[in-house]
Amino acid sequence: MSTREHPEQPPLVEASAVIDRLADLEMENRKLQDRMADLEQRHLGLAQLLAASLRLHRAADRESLMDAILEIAINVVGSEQLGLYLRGESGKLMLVRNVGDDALAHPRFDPGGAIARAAETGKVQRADAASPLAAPTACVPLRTGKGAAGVLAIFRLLPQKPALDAKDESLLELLADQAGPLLQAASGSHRSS
Amino acid sequence: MKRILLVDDAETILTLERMVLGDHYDIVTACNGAEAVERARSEKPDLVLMDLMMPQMSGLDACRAMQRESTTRGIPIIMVTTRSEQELVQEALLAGCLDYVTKPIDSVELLAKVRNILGD
Repeated sequence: MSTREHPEQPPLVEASAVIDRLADLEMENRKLQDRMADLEQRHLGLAQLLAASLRLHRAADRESLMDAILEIAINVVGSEQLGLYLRGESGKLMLVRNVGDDALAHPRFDPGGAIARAAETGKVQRADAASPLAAPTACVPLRTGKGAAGVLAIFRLLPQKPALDAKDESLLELLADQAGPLLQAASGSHRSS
Repeated sequence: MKRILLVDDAETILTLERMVLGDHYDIVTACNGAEAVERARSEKPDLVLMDLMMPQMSGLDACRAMQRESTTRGIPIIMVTTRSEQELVQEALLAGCLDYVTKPIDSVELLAKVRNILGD
């Protein structure tokens, strides 16, 4: 409204109202930007889950399925040092793949440790302040209807990845839920072929 | 629509990059450095997103090969990799890369760098 239409409003009051309105718009803009950033992260999280699920389900056999699990853990989660433990014929967990640490070529399995707990409980184990220094950052049980077919142990994240976040938690749960039955099916096909 | 060549031996990354970029750009892919050079010649992309560690030919060697050829020399390249060491970043820049993105991929960062180079 102009001062001609409302002569009782001096220009200073009008300018002040405009400044206040600008401040409101800036605050609204910042909130929208925060909301946009949040939506971008959610979109990325969903895209990661879909990409990982597609990768697992497209694996043609047991070997390529193991490749897929490690590929997801390295490239999408951001892991540098990993061990993939699968149950052998005896039912014991055996190290079948390791990435990032030659020492892992020799089986390193603590019956009371996080890897065993993940296999027994079927729950993802996360290192915390009370964990031993050598404890894995995360242990992901590869769940089936009859216990865990194996465990993916993430011993160390990439230097540029300070910690696991909410998107990673969802991704690890996806690996836990989907990789186990696929491994079981692939093992069954392997034995019968 | 501008064209981006995605190069990575990890299918998951190709799928993810396609989801992030596919609405805005025409996407073609390659799964190793040798295939990347071949596709760059045939598809003439406006930008290449190149993984570093790949079988047959590494991303760095693919960058150098593209720099040697007149048909592919001018194509901008962004290196996308798990490796973050400073000397590798420098080596990538010397090999002809314009920019560098570390995995795990941040879609906001990736889109911003792509748009910056393509002038969108």
